[in-house]
Amino acid sequence: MNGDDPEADEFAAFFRQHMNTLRGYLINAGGDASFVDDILQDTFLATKLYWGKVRDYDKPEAYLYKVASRQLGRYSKNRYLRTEPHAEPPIPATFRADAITMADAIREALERLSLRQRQVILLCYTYGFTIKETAKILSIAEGTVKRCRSDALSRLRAIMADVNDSDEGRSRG
Amino acid sequence: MDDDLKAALATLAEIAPADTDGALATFQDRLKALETNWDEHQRILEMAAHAVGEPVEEPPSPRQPPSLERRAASKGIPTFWDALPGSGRKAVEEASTSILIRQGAFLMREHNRSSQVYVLLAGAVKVWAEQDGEIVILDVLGPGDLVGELEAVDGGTRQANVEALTPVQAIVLPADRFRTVLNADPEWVWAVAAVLAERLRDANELRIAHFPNDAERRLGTRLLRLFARFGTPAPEGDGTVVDLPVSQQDLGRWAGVGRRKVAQILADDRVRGSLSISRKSVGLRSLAVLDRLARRT
Repeated sequence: MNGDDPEADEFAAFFRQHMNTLRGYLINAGGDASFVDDILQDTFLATKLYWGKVRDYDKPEAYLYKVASRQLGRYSKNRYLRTEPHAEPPIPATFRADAITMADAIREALERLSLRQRQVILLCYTYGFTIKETAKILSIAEGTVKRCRSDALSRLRAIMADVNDSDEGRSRG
Repeated sequence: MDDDLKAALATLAEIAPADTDGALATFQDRLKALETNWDEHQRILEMAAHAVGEPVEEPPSPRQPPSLERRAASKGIPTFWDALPGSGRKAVEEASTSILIRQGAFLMREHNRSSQVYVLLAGAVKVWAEQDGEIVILDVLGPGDLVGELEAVDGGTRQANVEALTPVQAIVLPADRFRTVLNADPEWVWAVAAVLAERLRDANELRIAHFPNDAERRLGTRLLRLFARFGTPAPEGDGTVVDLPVSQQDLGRWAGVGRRKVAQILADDRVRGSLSISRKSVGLRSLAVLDRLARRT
């Protein structure tokens, strides 16, 4: 940045601060590398256009997540995104008890949730937004967030338990 | 168990960092490009406005059938509406009133000085002039086209009659207001220039085909123009169809060819099977025929 435009500098700092986290969110939520960067760019462009307004928000970054989440939904409608859980997922090598880390397992399990459940879970637990903020980001009611969150948690638990079971079964047999 | 899960979820935030500087550079390039690319600007703006919860601009209203508009654009005759950036369209729309014109009515008459400018949104109009009882068709215009551009530019009298071939939806505004609106942005004035350039090119094309006298080429280019503006896929089977009442006589008057010569050209073995003119429509089996007539192959 050449430094003669304080607003541009301010925005560049904002960009640097949040770009990686937002990118992580998009990838964790099921975005494919082919369009994650497009969404990222579009999101920051949109934010720049409304920067005069957004900068005064309590949490300007929530606006990023809102724009990006909606884009993600659009791409998923165009079937770029896996929203349907795999019917009978083969158990990948990473699920061998010695090799897995909890994070890997969770990533695999997340893929089997619906897009909205994934978004809710990620926003609430990974990126530290409150229920109220998550509801605003995803443009859904707070009640829906709560329901999605508990559904998703129990589903995740079930998936993980499932994996552990079959893993034990295999090691026994 | 839940605490386990939550703790694991929290770790997902850590992800291999991407190239922040590269992304920032790309971002700044795209931001700059946004200043000149209006469609892109509009798209991003819509995205941004939606997230702030502001009323998003209406998607293209029924007044501008987007399919028709896109059709004209895809075939390669740029219309005024295509050439005008989104913000310009909005400004023109705000300054104008929307009207419906019944079939056969006149949008404007020869020789008078009333200066109104129309932008057609749906339907088709025939632009024609009369000379000693003979009618000369100058053009057939459709959705997105600007009507009355000459008078808007030079303030002269009307050169032609404009008659609605079908029911027409249009927006209309006085020429001086049209000029005032467009003055807001030089880019918008270029849209008018684009229209003038396109029509001049077409007029040149006709002049070229007048010497040496090449009736087939004149007729061929007229038909190509007609299909480029109004062609739709035929409802049954293959080919393209123009649902407008254009007679052989009209085609002759447009191409500067006698009616009998038109009939003769259309009855030629190379043309007969692929082009059919009926009372309400013109059907075409393959564009190659017209290309050949127009000497484009």
